[in-house]
Amino acid sequence: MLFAIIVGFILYSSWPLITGKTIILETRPYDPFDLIRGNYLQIGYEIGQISYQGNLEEGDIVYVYLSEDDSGISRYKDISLIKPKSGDFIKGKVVKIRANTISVEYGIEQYFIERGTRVERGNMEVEVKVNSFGQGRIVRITKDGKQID
Amino acid sequence: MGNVGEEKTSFGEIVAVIGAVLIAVGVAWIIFKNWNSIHDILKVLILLLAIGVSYGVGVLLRIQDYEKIGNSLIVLGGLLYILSIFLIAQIFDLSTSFQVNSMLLLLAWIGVFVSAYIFNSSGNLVVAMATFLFWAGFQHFALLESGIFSGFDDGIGSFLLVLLVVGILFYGLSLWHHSRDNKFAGVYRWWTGFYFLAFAYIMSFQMFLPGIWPNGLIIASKSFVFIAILLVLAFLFLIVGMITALNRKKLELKSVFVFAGGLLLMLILIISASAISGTLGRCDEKSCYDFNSQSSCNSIDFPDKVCQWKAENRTVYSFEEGTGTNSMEKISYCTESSCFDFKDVTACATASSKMKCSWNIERSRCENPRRDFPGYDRTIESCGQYDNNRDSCLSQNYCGWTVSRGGVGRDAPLGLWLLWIFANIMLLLVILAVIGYGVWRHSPRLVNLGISFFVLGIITRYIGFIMDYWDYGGLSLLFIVGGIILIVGGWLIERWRRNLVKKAEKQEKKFQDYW
Repeated sequence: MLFAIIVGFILYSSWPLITGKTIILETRPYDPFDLIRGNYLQIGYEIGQISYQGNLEEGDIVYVYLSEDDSGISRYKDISLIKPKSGDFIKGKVVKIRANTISVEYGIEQYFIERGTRVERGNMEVEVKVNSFGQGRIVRITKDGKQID
Repeated sequence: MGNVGEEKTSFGEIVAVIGAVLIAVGVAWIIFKNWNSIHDILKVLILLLAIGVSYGVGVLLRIQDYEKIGNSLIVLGGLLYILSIFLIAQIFDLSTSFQVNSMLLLLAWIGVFVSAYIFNSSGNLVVAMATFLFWAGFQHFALLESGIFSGFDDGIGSFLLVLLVVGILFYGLSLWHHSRDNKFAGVYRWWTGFYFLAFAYIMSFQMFLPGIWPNGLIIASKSFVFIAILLVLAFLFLIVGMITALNRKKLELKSVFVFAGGLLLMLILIISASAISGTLGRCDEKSCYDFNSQSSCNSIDFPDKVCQWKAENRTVYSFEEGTGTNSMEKISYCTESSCFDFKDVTACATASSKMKCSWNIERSRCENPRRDFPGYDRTIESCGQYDNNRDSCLSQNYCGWTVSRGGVGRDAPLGLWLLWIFANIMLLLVILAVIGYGVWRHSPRLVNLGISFFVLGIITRYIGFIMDYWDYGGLSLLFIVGGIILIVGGWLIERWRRNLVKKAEKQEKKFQDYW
């Protein structure tokens, strides 16, 4: 019974990694004074802050359309309350609305690293696998082309 | 059977066990040291192996009549299972939000709960109940719309209801197990006592009373659904438990009435808190920055300031080892118009009369003399005059309400004092009920639980008394007298506790192994 729960949990957590498509997201400095709390890295994404004027409310589940630029980074294209039938997109939740900017979280804002590790900010890219439901899982984080451990 | 196991224990075996434990600790240390370099699949296999070995060896030892060690290993298996859930979440970098942590705790307590029944392990049931407590708390706060870090804007009343409902649920489960002479009845009984005591203890704090129902007797919708589901389950188990226990003559009808009476009193207490909750607080003028849209910014009508909507380009720097890259972003916000914005006498005269701007000849600037030197008389403040008057405060759209968070102390109104006295009487009644129930059911642990909360209550009230009367003369005398009371009281309480525990110690033999 316990093994069934654990195996089921592992399957649920790893499903995006097994079935998802790989996208690269650019990060945005999250906190200029201390990015690391405890032993995980708090990540802010470029697509985490979206200029938007509409009828969204805090707590809304949204689907952010993405389009790949010339350097292979997936950028914000559009936002919708309805799950798209095709194209690249990622599922998120509106956590804050301030003036004409909304903050969206995608469940991939934490990356666990070894205790005591210091990571230099800037030029970080995150490789994420996103499944057909829009669920994302971090595959790896690179800085200047090298993987962060 | 237990005696056979005890005869087999020898000095050599003890040394061997210590050696085995050291090896296990050493292996575990190597694994943890190199955890990050181990492949994810191997990490999962190690965890599953640890759980399997712990449970397997535990069951084997129980069969071999090493009951205590076997039970301990089974409990260890349960704890390793919980650890595995969280380590797997770390492996997949799952979010650290309240809701995700709540989901992990749900998986944790369900698994250990089921294993408790499969392996007939009271220890695992205790672990499951402890995990359940954390889950109930996390899930409740995850559902609050304002979130736990928003200063308890939703109040703690709904969380107190969760404690009450879970207490009812566990009482029903204890009756059902008791009717079947199942040893788990003792575990549920203890946790029933814990939840009711926790409820009464939290309510006994004067500083929490104003914040129980800050918005009136209202529960946030998602939280309401959570409590409703728990309530349905609780009453289902309560009714089934009572009927089963009554039919098998394991419960007397008068016990049902006593329980119902106690429950009713606790409900009256928490509902009556709404009469005083939310009425105590500060009324402060909002800031222009609180308005997030141009229309609301332009339409708000403060009596003594003017807001204006601004849009500007702001430079954003990224920190990167000394070489910055700049980007511009446009931001809009609502801000207060300042007298300083008017640069000459003529312009200063055109400022809104609300701002009370006047030209300072000496400093050659337009300024508001009154706002430079704010007064401390809140009764003449535009919103301060509505302190402790929530409805009037919120009737002004430029005023914001903040529930009192304690520190009312000796300035508390009569209503708050009466409610506080009622709450402390309830705490005493619940403590006595738990102790009495423990003696009746021959449960020393329940007796100790009741007395622990009694001691906790006394110490808490003593500290509160000191804090409220700190600046009164003779503080040293207060400390001395209080200390003497605590010493004498401690001696008397310990004597009382030992007598009660002696009475409760004659447990039925088949439950002597744990509870």
